[in-house]
Amino acid sequence: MTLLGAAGVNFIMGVPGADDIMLNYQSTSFHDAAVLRELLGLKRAPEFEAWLAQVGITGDDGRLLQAPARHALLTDLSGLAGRP
Amino acid sequence: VSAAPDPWAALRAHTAARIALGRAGVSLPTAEWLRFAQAHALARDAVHTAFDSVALSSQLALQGFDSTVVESAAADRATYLRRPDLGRRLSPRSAALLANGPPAAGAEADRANNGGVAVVVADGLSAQAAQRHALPLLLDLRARLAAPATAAALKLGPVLLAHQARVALGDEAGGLLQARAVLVLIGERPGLSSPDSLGAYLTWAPQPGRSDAERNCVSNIRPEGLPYSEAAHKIAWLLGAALRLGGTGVALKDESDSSALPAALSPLKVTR
Repeated sequence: MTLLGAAGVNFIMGVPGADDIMLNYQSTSFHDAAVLRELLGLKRAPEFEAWLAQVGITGDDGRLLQAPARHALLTDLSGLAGRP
Repeated sequence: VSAAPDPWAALRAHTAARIALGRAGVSLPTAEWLRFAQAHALARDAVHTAFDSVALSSQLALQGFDSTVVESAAADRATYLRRPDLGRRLSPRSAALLANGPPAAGAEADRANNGGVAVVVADGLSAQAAQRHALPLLLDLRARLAAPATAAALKLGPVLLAHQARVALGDEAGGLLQARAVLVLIGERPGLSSPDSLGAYLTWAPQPGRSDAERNCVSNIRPEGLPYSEAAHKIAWLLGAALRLGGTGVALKDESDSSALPAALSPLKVTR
């Protein structure tokens, strides 16, 4: 994956933990994509970059932020997780 | 770098998927990296673990299933993995054995099988799957097929235990046994979370040259996936439908779920 990134490939799969649990495939993960960006200084597509910053996933420098427990994208999940 | 706790952690209770892993920097925390490496090692081991057909044959015999051990034309695991074509054909010894009727079953059982449902339990890519799940699945399935409507036409067995086998081996074996249909229970390619997943492939009027479009498949049979009872329900439903249709494959749609629902709740009724 690092070789592909260095060679300029512009699309890799992202599945949680590199584990496609439905099809029993191994793939590349969201973590892998983030590592590759940091390692090689790669940017996301501009509109995606802007959206990530807007919803508070990344900061102004494009790096992932630590998600606070009261993050807007997490508040709706409390019921799913079995907590009041 | 210390790993930050993941705010999704509570959601892990609902799935075996690798979600909410946390991160150290932007990468995986060490504990998750080790779990991933362990899962990968288990998957590799599953591919290379040998099928203990002697033990399974004894367990089957205790439950009244006669079984016969056969092997594909792939002589060993290394050949099997590199030559899919050899895994789809019986060895000359096994082909001759089945052409003369399975000796373990005897003449009486051979007649009963003629026109019945031949069962092939195959190692495939995970012998562990066949070892663990084939027998409990067959017990449940036999009970479901004992209903008067299907008992005569869809009698199970005898059972073949097939080494270094792929799905299409059942075509040749079922053809030689003159079976009405063949049910191949085979270890699926291991996933990172499922080294012992069993697949069931049903093929009507088996003979060499059948295509995958002429089969129906029930996948991911294991307690953590599709439980035995639900898998046996689907297979029994498919067998009954195949008997009415006179075939399996793309013409036979698995509607076992909707037929189990009251008519008013059936999603098919809503959309039609």
